[in-house]
Amino acid sequence: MKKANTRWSNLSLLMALALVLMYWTPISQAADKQTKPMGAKQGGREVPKYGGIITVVRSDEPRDFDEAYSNTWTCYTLSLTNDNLVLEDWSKGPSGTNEYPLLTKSHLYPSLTEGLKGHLCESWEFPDPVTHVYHIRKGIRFHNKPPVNGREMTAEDVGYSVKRVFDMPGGWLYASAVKPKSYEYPDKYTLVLKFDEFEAYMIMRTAGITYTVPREVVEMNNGEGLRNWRNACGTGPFVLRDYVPGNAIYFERNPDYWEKDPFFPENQLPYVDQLKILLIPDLSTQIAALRSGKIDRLTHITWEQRESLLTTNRELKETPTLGNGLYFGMRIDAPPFDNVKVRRALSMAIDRDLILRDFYHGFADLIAYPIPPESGAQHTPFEELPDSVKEVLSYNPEKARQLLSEAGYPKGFKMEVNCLVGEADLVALCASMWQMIGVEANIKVREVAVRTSLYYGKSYKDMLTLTSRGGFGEAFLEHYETGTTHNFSMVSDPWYDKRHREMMRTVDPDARSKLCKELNLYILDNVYRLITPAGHQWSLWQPWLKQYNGEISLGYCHWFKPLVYSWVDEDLKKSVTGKR
Amino acid sequence: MIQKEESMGRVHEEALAEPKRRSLLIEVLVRLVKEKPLGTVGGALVLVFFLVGILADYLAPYGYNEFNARAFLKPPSGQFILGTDNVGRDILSRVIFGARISMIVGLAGACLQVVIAVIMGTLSGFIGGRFDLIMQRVVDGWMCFPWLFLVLTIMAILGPGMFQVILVLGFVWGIGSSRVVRGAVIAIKENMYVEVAVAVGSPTWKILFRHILPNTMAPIIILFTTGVGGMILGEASISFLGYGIPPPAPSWGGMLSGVGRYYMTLAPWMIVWPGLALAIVVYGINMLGDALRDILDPKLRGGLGRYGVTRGRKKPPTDKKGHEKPGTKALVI
Repeated sequence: MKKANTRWSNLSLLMALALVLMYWTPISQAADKQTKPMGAKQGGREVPKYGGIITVVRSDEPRDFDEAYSNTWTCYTLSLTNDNLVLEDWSKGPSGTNEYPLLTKSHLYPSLTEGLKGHLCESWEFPDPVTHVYHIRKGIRFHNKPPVNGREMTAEDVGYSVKRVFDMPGGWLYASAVKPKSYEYPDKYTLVLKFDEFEAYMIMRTAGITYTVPREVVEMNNGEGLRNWRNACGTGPFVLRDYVPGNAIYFERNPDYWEKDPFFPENQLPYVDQLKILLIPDLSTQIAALRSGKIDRLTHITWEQRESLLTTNRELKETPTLGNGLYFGMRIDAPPFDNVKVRRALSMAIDRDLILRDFYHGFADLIAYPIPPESGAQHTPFEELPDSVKEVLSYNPEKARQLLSEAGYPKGFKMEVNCLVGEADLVALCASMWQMIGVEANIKVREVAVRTSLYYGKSYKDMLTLTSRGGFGEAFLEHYETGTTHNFSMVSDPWYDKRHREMMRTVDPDARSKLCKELNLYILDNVYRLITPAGHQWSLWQPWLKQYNGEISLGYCHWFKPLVYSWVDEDLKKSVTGKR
Repeated sequence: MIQKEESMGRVHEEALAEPKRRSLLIEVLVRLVKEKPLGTVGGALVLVFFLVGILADYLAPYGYNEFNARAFLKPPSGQFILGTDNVGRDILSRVIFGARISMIVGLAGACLQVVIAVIMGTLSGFIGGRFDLIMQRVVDGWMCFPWLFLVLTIMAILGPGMFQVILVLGFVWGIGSSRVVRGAVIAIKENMYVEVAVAVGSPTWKILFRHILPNTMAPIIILFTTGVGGMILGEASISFLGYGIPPPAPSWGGMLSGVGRYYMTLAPWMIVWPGLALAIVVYGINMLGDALRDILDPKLRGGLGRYGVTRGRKKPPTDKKGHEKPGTKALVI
């Protein structure tokens, strides 16, 4: 009896002690839980949380860290460390009002500024077609690292950055027919660009593509300071902390970044502490990484990969994007491809319906290059094509053989096709179709760096493949103008050059669209590139990546910019993966 | 009494008389079938593999790159026994043509490996001295590097292709294999007949070709047979990694990689059949190599029935009437 009483007394004491301890728990913790519950919403949107890491993937190494020596799309770290004058408006995309898809790598609408918002500039004016006035935001600072040490960015920095990209020999804009003829600074925060003539793509080139960089860094090391990743510096949301070639690129949040979340104006961007880009060349490995939660998103997934992923990972979110197609560039400056009959024959030997139906299982667009369906009035659907163009895009091996015979190749010929390993199957399929008309294709599988070198150096033999998707004519029809960077088919057509210049000088957007349409049909009719259907693709991402809805880019190849607005729900991530 | 002595003499003569010598090849084959059933199975698999590779043009129902419209990603059926891939190619045909590629790479690579191993090992073992010292230090250094690292590095420079694969694998493994030949040469070099040949002034090349090399054939044959399997697996490995024979060539390793992995869950037959073929062939070659090594290894040779010697478990030789031949029990081990 005594023992039982003692036991009950001890138990009571313990309970009392527990109650006392609970009473003394700090109130702030309880209060925090009350005021910021998981999944709290504001105005219908989940309240973002700070912290965490976003991990994404890229298959190629950055080619450079200074776009003046290379180009924008291969210097992709700049989209995180630096800013542009204008950007596509993220708040009007899928994560916002959903007015624009933000699914292309090259935004442009015929009105030239539709869908854009000022980024480094708070406003702009075009008093006449050859004058661009940009009013720079005040108080934007470069990264706080030597030699810049966080000084304020001014209009002169923007002008300097634009000028060097156009003036740098070997840079991708060096050969531009139209360049700013003067750079004026009426005050510290105003930049005025004047041109000799109007050029349709110039707004995007100067304001949407060119990144603003600090002069002090550029001038280090005899003008190559920015090419060293350790010197990477800009006004961007992230600071480049480490680059391990073949492994990963690490970014840290810029604590002094100027931009706020448009839906939560009190929140400074970015939300995440770090962003990591894993360099994984192999697509299967990328998919495995998404499957296992190692990466947070994967774009440009094909239908079979999507089906496989969604079978094993139902929690993944998805959205369709605009897929890429396989295109063949040919050495039009040399036989046999200098003969249009040969090119037409090769095109007619490709059974595009079979590719669309059997290879892509119906998930493809027949014509997506150079002007794809999303280009609106500039695109011509197959049914509306002129007969001559329809013939070229229709499967007719008999006619193809006849054309080859007329061109002086009755027994066909041999050619070399350079492609990437991921393109080899579709190239082999096309090769077997060409074999039926007597053309023997020797497929040479190249590594990415080698193919890039062949592309830019235009040093390939016979044929080179490209996986891409077209866009608006103002951006893509330049690829056929003599001497331009992307003219890897070595097209040299004086009529086309003249007409293209005329198109780019046309101020009225409707008139310009008509010219785009005309030039597109001309390119297709002359088969300056062999096109095949473009397979549909999807973006898939993890459920814990919030405020992200599949956006691909916020302008020209600003691949990672949409992630600046995203945040990571770490609690959700832990519940799904078991770790933060 | 005299009859008994005569019969015993005859028996003794019979027991001491050497049995009729068959050619080495036939003897090896007979012993393989009799004593190594697993090796025999392996040999049969290898033979089938070689025949498939040689007769691929006649056995394959379709070309290796022949696409079949409306038959993309079809599962195994009556028309496509092993199914089709993502561009409508018959998997059975590609596996058959892949056997040819594997056979060519396996044989050519193993030949190159053996040639390099024999040249280096023979010279190093026979000449000896400082030459041997330097040569072996080079081989030591070479063997420090993982073979895959060496292969990938050299392939990245040379580019993909069958010839490059054969060259690289042959060189990389040939240098390492020279140790085996060198050891055999050193052992044979110490024999009296070699010393005699040197003493009578026989030229070096004659000594090498008439006395040394014939007696190192056993380890060379073993090196070759094991090398074939290794070459096939090596080629599959580097093709899988994307550095070997590029598509659309139907390399088994290449078929396992690339789109095979993309479609693994949707069309598993794209990787199952080439993987199975690879496993079966390499298994067969390994079993055959193991059996040949057991038969041809000089250390084991005397204990495995050569010269009429049998194992303890087996009965001693009998005459036509079923009686044990007298005087032979002592030769049973």
